[in-house]
Formats: sequence, C-alpha cells, structure tokens
Amino acid sequence: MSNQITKLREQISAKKQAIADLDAAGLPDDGAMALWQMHVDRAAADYFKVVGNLATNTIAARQDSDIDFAVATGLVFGQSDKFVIGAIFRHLGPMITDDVKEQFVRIKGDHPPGVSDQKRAADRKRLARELLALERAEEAEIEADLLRGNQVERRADADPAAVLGVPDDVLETLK
Amino acid sequence: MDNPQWAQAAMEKFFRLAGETTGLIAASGGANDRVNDLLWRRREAEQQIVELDEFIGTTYGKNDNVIRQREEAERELQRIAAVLPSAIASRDVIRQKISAAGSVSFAAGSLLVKLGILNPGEVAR
Repeated sequence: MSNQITKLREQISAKKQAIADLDAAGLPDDGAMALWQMHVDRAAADYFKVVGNLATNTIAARQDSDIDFAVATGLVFGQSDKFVIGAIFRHLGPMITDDVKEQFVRIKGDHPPGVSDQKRAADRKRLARELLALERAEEAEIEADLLRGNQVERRADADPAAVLGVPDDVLETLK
Repeated sequence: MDNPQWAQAAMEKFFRLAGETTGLIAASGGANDRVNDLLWRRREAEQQIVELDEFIGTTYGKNDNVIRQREEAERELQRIAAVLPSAIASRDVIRQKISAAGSVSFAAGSLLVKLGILNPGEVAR
C-alpha cells in the first residue's frame, strides 16, 4: 500500500472525526443556556399553578378542610413532583443556574464546541464534500496501486459513490 | 435508454468487486479446511495419548512399542501446535478481507440499485 493511501486514510479518518464531533456538538453557550432557562421557567410555572390553587382555596376557606395541600399539590394523584421541583427552582433557581454554569465551564473543554443549527448544516455539507473528495482521491490511488500490481484492500466503510465514481450531480438526485 | 458512460464504468467496477469477493470466499474454503484438519488431528493425538496412558497404567511387562506410539503422538501434538497459530491467522486474514471486500461490494451494489442502474436481485450479500 502506497504512502499516499496511508496519508489519505489518515485524512479521511480525521474528517470523519470532525463530522462526528459536529454531530455530537450542542448549541453555542447562549443557546444552550436559553434552553436551560426554558426548563427553569417551565418548572416555576408548574409551581405557580399550584400556588394559584392554594390561594383560591385559602381566600374562600371557611374551615380547616377547605385548604388541602395534598389535593392542591397533586400529592393525592401521585403528581406532586412537579410542584416540589417547581418550588425548588422558583426559590433556588438562580443559585442552581449559577452552579450549572460553573460546571458547564469546567467540562466545556471535554466536549466539541457548540454550533448553531445553521452553521452545523453548512459545516456538515462542507465536511461531507471534503470527505467525498478525499475518498475519491483514495480510490484513484488504490486503482493506480492495483495497476502497478500491488495488493490493496479497500476500507470496509469506503463510500460506494467514491469507489464507483458516481458524479456529484447524480448524487444530488438521491437527496 | 443507454446508461451514461459513468454508469457503465460503475457497473463494470461493481461486478469486478463482487468477483473479487467471490474469489476470496473460495480461497477461504481452503484455509478453513486446513484449520479444521489440524484441529481434528490434534483431537486424535490427544485422544490417543489418553488411551495409551490407560494401557500403560494397567499393563504389566514391557511396553516399548506403546511408549514409542505415545512419543509419536506427543511429537504430532508439537507439530500441530507449531503450525496451528499461523493457519488460524491466515484464515482470519482471509475472513477479514472477505468482510471488508463484501461490505464494499454490497454498498456499491446497493447504491447502483438506488440509482436504478441494477436490480436488487443482482446484488447478493
């Protein structure tokens, strides 16, 4: 196997890794934290719903049994979790958010950098195009090597479009 | 409608790849037979040693002939032990080649089917 094929295979492997990293990447920091805040707000909204029920019961109460925590919080229906989680986030939300941000910064280096959906789509398209170009170059080298009488095995995950020399405009019709 | 030039070339290449895989599969038969033969001979030699040991243990008097047979069986085991790893390794190399070549030719055939150049029946796994 020629050095050129080895070199191309290293580049192909790196390109595939770049695509995998892109696929595994989350949103940019502000987008990710906006998603987080959405969940905090949703939890708080669940809490306020119960608080509203409790206030209604309290304002109309004339005797002890008119206010029922178990009913108002959903405990009797086995659904008090939302109230409990909501209460925690309503009152400790900013502190929990600070802790999450701190952890976020700490582990950020272990994860691929975040990208917006638009950039992800554009980058993916570019990387796929570059990968196909590398695979085509590899296939050309393999064919040349085989013609020289050398033994070369194709990678099991070789792109069939590159192996068969299918033109780009034909591949476009498959999308 | 005639296939364009690239489609013709792609089809020819697919059949070449499929042919290479078929050739490898045929070659793997010989490699499998070699490993199976060695494993069978090893089992036979081991069995013979057990039987000869039993005979030696229960028979009084001179057992020179039996001892010679046992030594020969031991030597057979050593000969097999010396060649079996390389026989298994070459069988595994062929298996690996079949796996890679088979994946490529199957993927190539599937793409040609998707492009309407081949019929599914022409692409055997």
